[in-house]
Amino acid sequence: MNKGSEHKAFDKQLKERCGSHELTPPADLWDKVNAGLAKAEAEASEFDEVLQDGLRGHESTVPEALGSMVNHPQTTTKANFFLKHRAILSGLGILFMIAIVGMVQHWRNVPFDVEQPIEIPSEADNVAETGSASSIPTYPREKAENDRAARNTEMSNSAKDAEDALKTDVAELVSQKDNNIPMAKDVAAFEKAINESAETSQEIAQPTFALPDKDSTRRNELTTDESSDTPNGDVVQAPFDSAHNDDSDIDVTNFGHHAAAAPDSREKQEIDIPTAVGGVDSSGGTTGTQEPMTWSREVQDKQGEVESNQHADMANEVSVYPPATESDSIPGLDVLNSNEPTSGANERVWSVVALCAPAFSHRTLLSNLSQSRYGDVYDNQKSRLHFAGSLSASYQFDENWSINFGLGYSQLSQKLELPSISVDAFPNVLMDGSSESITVYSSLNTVSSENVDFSEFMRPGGDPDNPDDYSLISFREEQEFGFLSIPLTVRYTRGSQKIKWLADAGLSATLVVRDRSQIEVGSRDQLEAVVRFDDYHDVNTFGLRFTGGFGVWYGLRNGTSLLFLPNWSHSLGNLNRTQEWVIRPWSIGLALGVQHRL
Amino acid sequence: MRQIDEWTNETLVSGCIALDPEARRVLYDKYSAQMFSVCMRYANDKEGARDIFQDGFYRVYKNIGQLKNVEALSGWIKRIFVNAGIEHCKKTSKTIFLEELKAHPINQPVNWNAALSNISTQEIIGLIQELPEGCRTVFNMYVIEGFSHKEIAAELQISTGTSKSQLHDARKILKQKLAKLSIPSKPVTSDE
Repeated sequence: MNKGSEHKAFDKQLKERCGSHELTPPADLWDKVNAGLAKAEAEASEFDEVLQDGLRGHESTVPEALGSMVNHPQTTTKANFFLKHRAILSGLGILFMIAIVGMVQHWRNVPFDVEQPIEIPSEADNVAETGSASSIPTYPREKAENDRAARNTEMSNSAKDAEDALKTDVAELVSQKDNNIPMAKDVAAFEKAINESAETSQEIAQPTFALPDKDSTRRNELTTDESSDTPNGDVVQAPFDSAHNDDSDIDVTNFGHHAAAAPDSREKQEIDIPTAVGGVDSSGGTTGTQEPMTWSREVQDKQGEVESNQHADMANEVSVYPPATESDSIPGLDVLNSNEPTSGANERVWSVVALCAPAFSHRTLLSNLSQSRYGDVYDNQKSRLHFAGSLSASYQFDENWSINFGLGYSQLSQKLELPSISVDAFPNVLMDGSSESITVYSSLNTVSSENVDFSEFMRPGGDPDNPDDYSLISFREEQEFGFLSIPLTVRYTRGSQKIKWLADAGLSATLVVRDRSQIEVGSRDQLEAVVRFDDYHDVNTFGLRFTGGFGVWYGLRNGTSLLFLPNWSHSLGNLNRTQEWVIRPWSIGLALGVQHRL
Repeated sequence: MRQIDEWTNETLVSGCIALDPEARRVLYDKYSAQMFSVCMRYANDKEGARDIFQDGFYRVYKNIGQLKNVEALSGWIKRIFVNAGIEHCKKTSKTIFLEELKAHPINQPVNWNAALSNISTQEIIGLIQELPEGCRTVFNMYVIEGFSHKEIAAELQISTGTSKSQLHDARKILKQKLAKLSIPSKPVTSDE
């Protein structure tokens, strides 16, 4: 038999023997009990009469301090506007978030829609429209579309004119064929190439522009004395730009000036881009021997005009039609076709971020009371784990830096439970049998309940005036607060395209949208005897928190990425409106979420 | 005058509330023997038991109006006497839990069931009375009344560890005394 069993058997036998044992008391004890009882009753009666005579009609002034210290549960709830309408406010918050996302999407579309070339009006135009040079330029979409249509028409006409002029020039060259047979062959081949290349825009995009090497060699032999001004009036100083001459026998540096004689910089930008096309297209064309450059200015101009026409057509297609799949294969053209933000050092993009975090919330508790021992009991207060979440928008204005703002929700949920404790050892509860009141010094407020049936809180036969006769009590306090937060943080990211470290810091405005507090003081002797205090708190609805985090960004496909962001936030202000206690909630969360680039 | 059996709990309680001397007397006669035994366990002598007894009945008569469930009258009265006993222990000794136990190792194995059977209940109560104050109170509360260590600790404002050690000491002392009384003791059975 082990020790435990031995003890149990020993105890059991003793209990059976002693528990129901009866021992007749001495006979004189009844007399003493009866006499003592009669005496006590007589004394009590006499004492009561004296007290009644002395105290009847007496009134005491209630100290002013007591009024501020004691709050009755029926009057402590100060539901303000925000707490009353928190459901509506929560809905408005969600709508606000949706509006933010919508606005972000709208802003993203306007400046990056390159299918609608937008001319930025000159300052003179701005002055004419707004009367002030410093005003922000306005450019309605309708006007932009009209301008684009007009410019396309103009470009088309210019291309036709240029083609007609080219045909005339070619005819002149053909007429020279009689005088120079070898050259005539070249011209014929050139003419054939032009005709073929002018048929479709697809062919334009292909390297059919590039003259055969042999043609190039022979063309270089062609000389002319004609004037060298371009249609734009530019004087061609160097027939072959050295930068393009390495791989190409076609000078395309003046290409854009022939295209449509566009007056604005935007059009120049569009036309400059095919310059790269020409360079690339011609890259495979030069394989022969590089002979001395004797190409005449006129031939260069003609060739340039042909290419201008071809690229003008191409530009038309680019502008008028949606981007073709094949055009994506043209280097440089994708810049015009794509409205996807390119990944680069100066990338500026919007993102939406959704985070969810298992979080642990607690608070810093400071007492302004001299009786700081009241706070000792709250060392046993336990916090509950909860889930916090946020939905935010992020604007990346630099490769490393971005700014975030949005909406979040977090909680502060705490519980203090003491199943059995003596009132003497629990300074937070003051029981006064004479006034039949129970006062609780809580961290959120000081509350008092009067007209308590004190017999339930005393040992059987106890004296209400004697604290030693009070029975053990059970104490339970719960505090729950929900916070809607509006964070504004700056985020720094660094790393590769696939994985990045990130640090996040900023401020968060908080709004209390959910609040509940409850205290239960119960008697251990009579379990049904419970005094309850509900919603006795008085808290500040608005608050400010510092928030920070450090985590990892992991890139997925299609602009989506995963975020793991352990974060910490600490209230900068006092949640409690009463001045006895300072409560500063803080929380630690392991946020996991998704970021999607818009 | 009615016989004791004619009195129900309800009539007893209502009579005591109405300050009926006959009802009081009947209540006394009905529970005095049982309660005096309780008092003897909590006191270290007969005088102490008398004090607890008088105090207990005074509390019963004074507060019987607070009793809600008259069916639980017996338990309610017993609880009053237990509380009175605890209060008595608190008042009579301020150092009840600081006593040191002199260890007297038991040299021979003892059959405790047999040892307890060989002595009367009054002798057992006498042994309990001889326990040190702290040990006696904890022993009574834990073994006889069925309190848990946590409840004892809260009631006596001591730690649960102290309560356990006091109980351990109480058992040890009782067994030492029982071993002395049970001479010659029976040999230990094989299962022990």
